[in-house]
Amino acid sequence: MPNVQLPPKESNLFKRILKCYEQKQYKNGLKFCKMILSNPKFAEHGGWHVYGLLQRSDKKYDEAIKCYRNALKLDKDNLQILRDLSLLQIQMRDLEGYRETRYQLLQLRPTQRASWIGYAIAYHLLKDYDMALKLLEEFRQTQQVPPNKMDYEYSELILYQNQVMREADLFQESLEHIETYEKQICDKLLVEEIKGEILLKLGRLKEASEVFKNLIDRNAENWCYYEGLEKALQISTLEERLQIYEEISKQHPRAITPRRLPLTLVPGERFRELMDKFLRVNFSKGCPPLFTTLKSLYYNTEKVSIIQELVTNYEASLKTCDFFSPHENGEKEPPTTLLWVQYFLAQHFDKLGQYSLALDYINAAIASTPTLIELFYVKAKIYKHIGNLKEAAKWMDEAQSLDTADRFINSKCAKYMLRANMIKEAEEMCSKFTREGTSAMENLNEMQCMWFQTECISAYQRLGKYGDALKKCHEVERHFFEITDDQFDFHTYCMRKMTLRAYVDLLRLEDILRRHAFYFKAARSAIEIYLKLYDNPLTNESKQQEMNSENVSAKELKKMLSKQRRAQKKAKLEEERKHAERERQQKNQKKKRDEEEEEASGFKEELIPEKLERVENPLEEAVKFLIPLKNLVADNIDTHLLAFEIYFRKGKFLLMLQSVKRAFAINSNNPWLHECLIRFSKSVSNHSNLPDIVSKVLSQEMQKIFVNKDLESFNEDFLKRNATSLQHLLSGAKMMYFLDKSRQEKAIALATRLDETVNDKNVKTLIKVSEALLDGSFGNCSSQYEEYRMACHNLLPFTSAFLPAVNEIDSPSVALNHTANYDVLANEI
Amino acid sequence: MERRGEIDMATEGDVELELETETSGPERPPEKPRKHDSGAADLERVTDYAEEKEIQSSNLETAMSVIGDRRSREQKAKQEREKELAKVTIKKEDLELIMTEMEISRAAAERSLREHMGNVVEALIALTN
Repeated sequence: MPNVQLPPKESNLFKRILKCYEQKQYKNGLKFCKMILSNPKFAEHGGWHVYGLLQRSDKKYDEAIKCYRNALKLDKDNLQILRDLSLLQIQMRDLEGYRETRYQLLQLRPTQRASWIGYAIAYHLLKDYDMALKLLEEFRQTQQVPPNKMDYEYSELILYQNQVMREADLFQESLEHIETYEKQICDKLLVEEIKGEILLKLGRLKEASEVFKNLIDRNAENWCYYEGLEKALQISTLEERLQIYEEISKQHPRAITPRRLPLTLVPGERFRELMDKFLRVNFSKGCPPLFTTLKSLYYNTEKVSIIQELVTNYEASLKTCDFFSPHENGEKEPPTTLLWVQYFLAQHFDKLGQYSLALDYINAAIASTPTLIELFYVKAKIYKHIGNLKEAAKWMDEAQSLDTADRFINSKCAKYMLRANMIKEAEEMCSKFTREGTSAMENLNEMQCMWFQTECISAYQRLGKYGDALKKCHEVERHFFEITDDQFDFHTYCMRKMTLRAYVDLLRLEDILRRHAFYFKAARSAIEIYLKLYDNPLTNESKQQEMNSENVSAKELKKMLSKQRRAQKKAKLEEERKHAERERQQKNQKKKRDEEEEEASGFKEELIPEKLERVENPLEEAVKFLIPLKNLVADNIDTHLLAFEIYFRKGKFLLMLQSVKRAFAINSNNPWLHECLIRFSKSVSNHSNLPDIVSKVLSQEMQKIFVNKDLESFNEDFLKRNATSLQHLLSGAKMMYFLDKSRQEKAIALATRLDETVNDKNVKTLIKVSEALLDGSFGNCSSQYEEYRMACHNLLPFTSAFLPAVNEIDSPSVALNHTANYDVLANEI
Repeated sequence: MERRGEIDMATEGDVELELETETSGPERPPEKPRKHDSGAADLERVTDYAEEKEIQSSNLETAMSVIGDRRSREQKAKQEREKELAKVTIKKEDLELIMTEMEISRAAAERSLREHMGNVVEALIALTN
């Protein structure tokens, strides 16, 4: 703060502001600040600076930047203001502004090392490698570290400098650089890896091969080193490659990689020979992840059948004579070998979709070794693939009960419970490991445990509990906000500590943070729910109707409603009890919590399910989740299809166009896209009063996609092109009905085809078809649905969704707990 | 940088790990309840103001002049581009149409329109790509 004399009134006010800031009472501080700034005289006395600080603490970074700029107008060379401004600029990624400010800082303080580093980083991020390197070299020379000295900060500086060189494709310079300063770099492994990479780029292959050979000696399991070695030796034939692996395997007899990599490369008889050896060693040893290691080979049907032959023969032989094959002698295999073989076969047949056989093998293994967690884990997985999620959760529960100190299996069990919509049970399961004193849900949110939260979102969504689902979606979104926000302190910290590579990596990670699958899941679900809420808004009375009562008789409905009322009452009492207890526990911390709420103002706003699902403008809420996806996950076609659904309902034709264009560029044959295109085209022709300019753009661009075809032909072509794919047939059939309701029979017949020409008749797709028959996509067709269900049941007898209806509730989309009978059937398997 | 004793190995005392995680019991008053309870005190130190380290250099002048030259070149190029774009005439209705139809800011809409020489149809086609 500049030292100026203030009249007593302002002086006191100023002191109060500073006190507010220290005590993190930013809201109050901001209030006082605004009062002062309204007085033009005071504005000259550091008022804008303080205002800026407060805005920043309130996380209103854009506002803060404006304040700082105003402050600078009045006090051009104020170091503190410039520093604070630069932090805000890099936080908001205003790279040009950041560079400007850092230049001014450098001019004011050329002897401070942070000035040089900051300025260099600005150029690096702007991809102006020339300038960045000039600055870094200037700076490095000032460091005066003698050549026999090891200093961590200097080592990091060198490595950062080298990284910039490599990004600038200055390979020769980079190599010389690293060789010059090699002795002063702490990370010796990295030095070797860099050398290997650059020598390859420079075409100095012999030297590169030496480097990679040394790296493999150091660690024979890193696949990248093998890649590098092959490039260096310019290996072209299979024989040469196999020879390398053979040699390395001799030098490192216990390494897995040189034995595993050849399996991907060799075909036929050779493969059988190598696989036989590989399998025997690993079965004898008892290697649980064996199947996982080989799973990536299963795209190749020849190899799959060879593996099957080998392993089923082992099994048959081991059962009778304790050898891998009947005509061997030597040492007998211990009984565990048979166990691992059966375990492998269960996973093998599960992967091939032969679930009955898979269960046979896993049950045989369990019979011999009923205490091995892995066996129940696989059994649960098989049931999951079958589509019987309750049974899957049951067996995962069995697995976790064998070792309640194992958090991995505990988490897996919770996840399987969530998949089976058993949310309360899942929470209880997690509570075995979460903090005492808070509910598991709260603690898991505090710990940013997003795998749990995203699974909850899906579970609530399936149950139609949209408010609860949205609450979790927003919780996940807040985590991403926090993670982005948390980087603020590291702008100064990393520069001080000279951990520049890590710092730049952090910035780059934060730039693409919402590309992470967790964000995508939460955003996708949020958008789907908001779309549903737009199509069918909830009123205050519609809470009762959330149970999809159309398919249920009046008597059943009454029973269900009274049951629900009883359950609600019970839940409410439970809730109140928990609430009271929580209040008692946290009474002590209430004062502190209030202050902290002040600190993070704007973000402790409570998420209330009932309010979230009755939001006024669901489409706008959906767009908020969509925007990061459009920016960061533009290569995923679903981003654009979700966007289309939103803009379709908003009536924004050019944004609809943008969405389908982008989706079309990714995969023009996508089934969902096909439906969107037809609905889009129909909507455009139905709206005759669009502005001229819009119409012009639409007709010009849509021409490229539809090529003058009428919609019926467009749909016919699509169906012809994809005659063997059930997913595509479903979409085409839906559109057939959409375009001409009189063709309902034909459309349904098309979608419900189950003959041999149709390829993907798997659990997921068949369920999709049956759901479409129920949700109105084909109009009224309950008898056809029942026919289809029976046909699917014959194909997939264990799948819950197709089991015959009990009671009058027969719709799989009514998520009530009617699995009692299903369990009975399942146990007969 | 300060002088240190002559050591070859990297394991010097100045490699601090200030962000170590600690397990915390329930009594510990949470300073930042949003974050998990590990090393919160250390994390606080991250924001402490530290005296900036100084460097001795006699040749700053040449370095600074190189930088100065570069900067004025950058600024000039930027100004020229802006001048070119500002020359383009654009219509207000076109601007507003773009903003409404594409749900983008005024600045983005304006830039797009100027880059397409005021041709709103072309601007929109480009924006839908």
